[in-house]
Amino acid sequence: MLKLNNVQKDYDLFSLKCSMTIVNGQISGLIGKNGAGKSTTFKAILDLISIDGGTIEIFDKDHKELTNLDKQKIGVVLSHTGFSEYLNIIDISAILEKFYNDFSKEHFINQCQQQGLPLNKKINTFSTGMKAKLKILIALSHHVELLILDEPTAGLDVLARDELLDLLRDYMSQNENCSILMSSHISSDLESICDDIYMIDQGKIVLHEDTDVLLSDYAILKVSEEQYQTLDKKYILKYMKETYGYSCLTKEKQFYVDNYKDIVIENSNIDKVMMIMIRGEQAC
Amino acid sequence: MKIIINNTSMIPIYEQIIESIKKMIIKEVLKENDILPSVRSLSKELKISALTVKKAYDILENEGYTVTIHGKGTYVKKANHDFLKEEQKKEVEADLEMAIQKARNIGLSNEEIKELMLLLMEE
Amino acid sequence: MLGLLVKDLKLLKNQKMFICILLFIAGVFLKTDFGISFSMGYLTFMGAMLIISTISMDDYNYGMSFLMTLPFKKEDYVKEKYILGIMISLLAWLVGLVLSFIGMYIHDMPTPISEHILSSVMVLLFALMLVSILIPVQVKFGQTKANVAVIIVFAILFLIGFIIYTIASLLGVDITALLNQLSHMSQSYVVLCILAITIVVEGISYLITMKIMNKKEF
Repeated sequence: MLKLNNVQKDYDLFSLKCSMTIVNGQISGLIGKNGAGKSTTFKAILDLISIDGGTIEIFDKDHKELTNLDKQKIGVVLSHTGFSEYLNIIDISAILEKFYNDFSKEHFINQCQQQGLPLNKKINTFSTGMKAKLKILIALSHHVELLILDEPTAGLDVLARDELLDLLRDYMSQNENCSILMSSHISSDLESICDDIYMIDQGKIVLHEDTDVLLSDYAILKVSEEQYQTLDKKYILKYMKETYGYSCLTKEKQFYVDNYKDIVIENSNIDKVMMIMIRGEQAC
Repeated sequence: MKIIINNTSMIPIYEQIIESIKKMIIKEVLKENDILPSVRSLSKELKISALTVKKAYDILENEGYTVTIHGKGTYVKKANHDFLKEEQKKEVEADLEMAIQKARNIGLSNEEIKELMLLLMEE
Repeated sequence: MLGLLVKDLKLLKNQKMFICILLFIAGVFLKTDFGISFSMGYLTFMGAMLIISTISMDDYNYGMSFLMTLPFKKEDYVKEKYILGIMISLLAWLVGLVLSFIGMYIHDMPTPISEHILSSVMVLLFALMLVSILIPVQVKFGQTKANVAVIIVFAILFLIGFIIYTIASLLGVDITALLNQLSHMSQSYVVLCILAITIVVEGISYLITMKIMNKKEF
């Protein structure tokens, strides 16, 4: 569905170099700190910026060769931009009608009303949460096979985030062929919906793993200096100096659970893994 | 389908799903030819990744509890009670073996282990 | 492209106040007989500028980034701006024309209709040329820098005019006499020349804007 092959984009102070593959029916998450390259990646995919190397394929075509019909199958949410804020929902539905062949005005307006969005007020009067909901509803208002979502839940409280993710889950359960690439700072959101996670730092993918492996097979070992000395480091990916000793990341939780009864082994999550992957040292 | 998972347990989520479904099959809450929810809809209910659900479904099929018909869904297979019981008996055996080994490791004698077992069974 | 048209029309709804004031001012100037041509020119030029305001509204709050992800090609965006620009200029000009006829009727000014229309057409053509220059400037420099760029463009135009005039007088050529001669030439001939120049200017402007859009990063 979407394939990035060694995509490269060079700026003065920063360089993006990454590869990704997303197949039909897959939901992939992209996480990284600010400035790591998430938005650059999205802009490259959407042909908003040119790339200096590599290829991007969407629907098995080069991304520059997509026809308008192909583009109708893509839904987009970007974090700092959307439809002109001088417009209201009625205006937008009239515009969307002319852009998308399978857009249903009644359905869209219905959804907006269900989410409590006023139809006749200009978007610049909406709250952050309302703007975010509208962006998703717009992206889902026509039949899409690929959703590109850049921080769709940014600035939302936990209740709104849950509602928004439910909208996505509903859509996916009715359109099993659809694929999603979404980025977020909020890793709990990604954990509750994504099938696999890409971690990006300084323009490079530092980790790509299935979510359930990340949550069940990865673990953080918290050990003292002495324990660290005698620890079998065969399966330690990275480690970090702590006040109590070291924290170590492993992909083989069971090995350490079986063989080390007296060290602290914590379940991992995306945030912990990301911290150690970025700040930690390679275990020798 | 009423499955409850513990997000902060040491037991991987896919294992929890497998256990829940197995229990439901044995208790006949899920009968033969009942259809399991689709991967996407269960992942939506439980708010987890679809791959996790798929993993659980694949293992259930490998172990003979379910069968997937492409394009139609995943169905519960005829619950072979004896077979299931055998499987579970084997698991209990393995768990007991581990417990006994552990006990021996910390120096308990066979008598002490038996006593402990009887005490626990009375509770 | 239809989607883009609908979007711009919806955006222009926001300029309702501006348009009303325009019409009001144009109407007011009809009171004087010398104000007729002013009001017509004013209406045409300001109406033509509306397309520039749609470009700046597109750009508001980084809106172009999202806009460019919608299902249309960059050339559709450029085409739509030029087509709509010409249509709005034409409309504003027609309204101005009607108003000028009303004004002439009020002040009892006898002017042969065809002659008046021909000289009015020149106003439209010059307005179109101005917009042709401003569209690529607005697209290239985006919302913030465009205002400054527009002022610079006007300054350059005036400068060019001034330089031509100075050089001409140095060479002993009398520009005013030349212009007088032109007005004695067949009116339709002059208008046709200017039409040709306008078409060329619009064409070059279109190509330049296409090039800018193709290179632009959002």
